[in-house]
Amino acid sequence: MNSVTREIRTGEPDDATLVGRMADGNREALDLLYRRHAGWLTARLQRRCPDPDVVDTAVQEAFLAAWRGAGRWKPSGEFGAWLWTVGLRRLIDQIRRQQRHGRDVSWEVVGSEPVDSGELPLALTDTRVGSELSRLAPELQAVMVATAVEGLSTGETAILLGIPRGTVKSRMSRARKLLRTAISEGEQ
Amino acid sequence: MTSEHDAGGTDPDVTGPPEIGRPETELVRIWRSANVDPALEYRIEETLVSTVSGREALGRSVSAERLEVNRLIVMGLAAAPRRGRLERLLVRLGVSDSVARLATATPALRAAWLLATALALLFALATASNSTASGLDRVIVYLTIAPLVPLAGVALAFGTAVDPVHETTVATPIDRSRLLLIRTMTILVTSIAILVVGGALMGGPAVAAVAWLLPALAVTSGAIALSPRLGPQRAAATVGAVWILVVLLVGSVSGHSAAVFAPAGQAFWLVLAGVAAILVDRQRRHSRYFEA
Repeated sequence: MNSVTREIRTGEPDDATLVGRMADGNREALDLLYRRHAGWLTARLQRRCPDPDVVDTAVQEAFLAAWRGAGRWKPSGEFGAWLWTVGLRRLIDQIRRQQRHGRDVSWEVVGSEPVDSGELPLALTDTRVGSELSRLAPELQAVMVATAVEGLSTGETAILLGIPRGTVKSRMSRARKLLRTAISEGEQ
Repeated sequence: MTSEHDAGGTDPDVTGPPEIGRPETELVRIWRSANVDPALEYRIEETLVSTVSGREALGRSVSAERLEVNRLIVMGLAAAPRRGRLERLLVRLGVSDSVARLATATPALRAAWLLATALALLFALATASNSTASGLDRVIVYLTIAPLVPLAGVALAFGTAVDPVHETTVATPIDRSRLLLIRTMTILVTSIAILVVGGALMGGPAVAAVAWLLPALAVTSGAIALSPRLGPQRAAATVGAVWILVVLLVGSVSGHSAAVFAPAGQAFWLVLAGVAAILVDRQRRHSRYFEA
């Protein structure tokens, strides 16, 4: 049991239970899961695509995938994490479709003033993204987060970020080189 | 505590630091600002989604109306049966969504019907290869069974008990008879494809692969013509029984078991199919469910 499952109030079924009920065709379970997860999923996907229609379609498809695939879902993982993976893939599918029609629906990664994470109101949990990644230029970070952290392919990353595949590859190798140097300098 | 509307349980009472200016909400504000680099953005997201309060804070950045509209869409789509491969193909070919759904949701297209058809064809194949007769007589079992395949399909295509999209059917602004025709066409196309392939395997004369076509049209349209009166299942059962009787009777009287498939017989089936089609068309005109 992880922290999220534990936190849910007593009396409310946890995600795994609800997924089990969905597998039996219980639509109320889908409704509850939607109310629990649609907000953050929409917010996170919106952060990756400026077009709200594209995001909404991806959210809908992710929940439908959960509904239809509930029987195959294994309760070992966390539902939220699974939903995120599916949602992100569906978003990429939708962006790809838009791009075929010549519409660009990607945010441009812009240079930014670094935020000092010490000034954040909450301590950040240890994530798969190490703080050393923050030393890279934003566009390199974006590629690294998409590939190394989210586990997207080069093609998927290219679609999500709205840049050519070649650019994804060159940025990846540049980022790796910089990280390697940073790590070896840190060891000395 | 900042507001009362959270009494319903959006505030976590288990974890998180004390509610000083809602740290999660503040974190979401920073996350939404443009000057967060991708790595930090991801770390903030992971931090937020790891707690219920963080998830809720993230969710509050999306309008409630938007989430509600999407919820209704998701619930509506979940209530509908899923779109199958054939349905997707039809939509891609330019058939409208609702027609594609209704045509392919035809219960008869389901595995049971296909399985029954396959078994019947295997049986026909077995009898054909053991038969000592020649010509069409050799494949008489196949010829007799073939028209029953679309007939059974049509029987299953309508009716509340066997129809997974019955509610959709009733709620769709297509009149029922047109729907019946859409489904019948789907069934006929599928049946003909299967039966022609099956017929080629039978090893009878080439004409055997198509000799059942007119009888099939005749019995199927006959069953449709009778279904307003008898109901689709009973109409199909009646017509099917009559068909088998006619084949057996004519066969034994003439001495050729495949006599009903001879040219004279074919002409008769053509006329019968035509009459049934006229009847169906007349019923269609008189029974528009959704006409003002």
